[in-house]
Amino acid sequence: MSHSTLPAVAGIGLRAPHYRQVLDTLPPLGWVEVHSENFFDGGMPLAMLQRVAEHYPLSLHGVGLGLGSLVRPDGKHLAALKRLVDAIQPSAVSEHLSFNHSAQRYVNDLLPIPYTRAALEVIASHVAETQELLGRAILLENLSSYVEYPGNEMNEGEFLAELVARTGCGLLLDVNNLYVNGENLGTDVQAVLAALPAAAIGEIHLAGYSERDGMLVDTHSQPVHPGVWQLYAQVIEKLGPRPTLIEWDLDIPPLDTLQAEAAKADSILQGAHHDA
Amino acid sequence: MTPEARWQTALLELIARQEQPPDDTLGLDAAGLAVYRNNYRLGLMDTLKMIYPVCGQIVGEEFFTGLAREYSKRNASLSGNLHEYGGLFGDFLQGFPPAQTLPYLADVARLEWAVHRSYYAIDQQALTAVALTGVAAEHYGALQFRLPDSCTVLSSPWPIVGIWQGHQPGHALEVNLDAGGEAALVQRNAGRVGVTLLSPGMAALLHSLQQGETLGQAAEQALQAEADFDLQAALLHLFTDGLITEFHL
Repeated sequence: MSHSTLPAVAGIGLRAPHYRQVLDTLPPLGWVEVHSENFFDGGMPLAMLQRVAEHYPLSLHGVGLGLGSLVRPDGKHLAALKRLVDAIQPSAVSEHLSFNHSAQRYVNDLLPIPYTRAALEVIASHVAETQELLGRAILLENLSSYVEYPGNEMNEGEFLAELVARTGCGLLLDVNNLYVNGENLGTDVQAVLAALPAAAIGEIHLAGYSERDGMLVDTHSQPVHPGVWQLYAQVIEKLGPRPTLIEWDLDIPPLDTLQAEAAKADSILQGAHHDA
Repeated sequence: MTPEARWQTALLELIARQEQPPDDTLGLDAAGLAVYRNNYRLGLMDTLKMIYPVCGQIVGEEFFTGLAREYSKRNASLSGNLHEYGGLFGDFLQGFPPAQTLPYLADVARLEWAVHRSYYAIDQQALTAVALTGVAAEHYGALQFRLPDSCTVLSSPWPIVGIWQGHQPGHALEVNLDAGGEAALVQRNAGRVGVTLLSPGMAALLHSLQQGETLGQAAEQALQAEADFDLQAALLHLFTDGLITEFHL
């Protein structure tokens, strides 16, 4: 099952301040990614996205489904995602391996799940249900976390590998998230990387963190940091070229700043050994 | 409930209830929890700021931030889609004592919510007047119409259309608060959300139709609101303006 038909070049996260410029000038971009929830239902956003999809390979990236919530996924959210996927026919569909709700409430964030066998059973069923409904495999993204479940039985990489084996899903490797976890939580970055099944990695994310009270916070508000570029180069050296996204969500700079970051990623991708 | 599900539920409650101290058994790092609490508070407040720019201009940034903080403390998010958050802000303002000096603010907020929902409403095909050619004239009074989800009619004792339009970029604010009430039509045309002033008769007609009443009943309401209401012209206008998506007999 193919998870992604994105080209193995750099793309950018397309956000509201750049919609008009991109549609008016059609700049050279390898591909673009948008947040799925911004295009639910219809109206101007969906019409705009359909025009974008005529010119660029497109990836839909969900931030609100919370597949790692141990209660059932929200049927209304899933139905809206399905309508969007059917309307756009994107090159990739991704979600985070995170939770955001209980039966009582939502917290609109990407919260870290317990990496246990019991949680794996439930979450694998949510992933399978989503893929069945959408009629395609999705990519699941690793998180930046600031707290951890105290009873973890495996690392995030091992958990993701289990999900791949059980559901046939693909993976979205966020190199910045991994780096940030290494710094904040002391996560063994190399152990997580080693656990991930290389063939399942269909996309890579790069972004810039900011520093707050001695903590690296994954704010997507900065250029990609040197340590993250270094880790990215190591990942690409090992995996070969993979579709790579520059994400920027706060204090969004001019489009050419994003293009310059994408060009840096492209130069690393072009230098990689093609052993795949 | 499994220990994992209990932990998830407890973490969600701790993030949303910011004054509650964490239970040691959850194994939560205090600085880590603070990151999520900060994201939560700012995320909801920013969402309100985006949906309610006119209210923000009216009260100023500092006061709006206070309103947004109070609202977000009292109103949990009920959806993974943040675009669905904030719908009760108008009701909150109506009952919140510090906002009482601006009695029109609640209705301006309700109008802004209608604009926000219109922008994200589902696409629906509007009917043209040709759709009624098969209906005999004597049955017109029994017709029921469905308006698009992107359309809202809102009546207020305050001049909300003037207030809203006067706060749009490039417009001068010339509002006489004593001028009396206004009815607003929020609708989407070619993707763009517009707010227009409705005559009392047209507002009564649309209100009535939106509640599922028949065209006959709606026409009565319209005539009561506006003695020289022209029903035929209004009906034609509904179709040319794309305000009818379905009809039933």
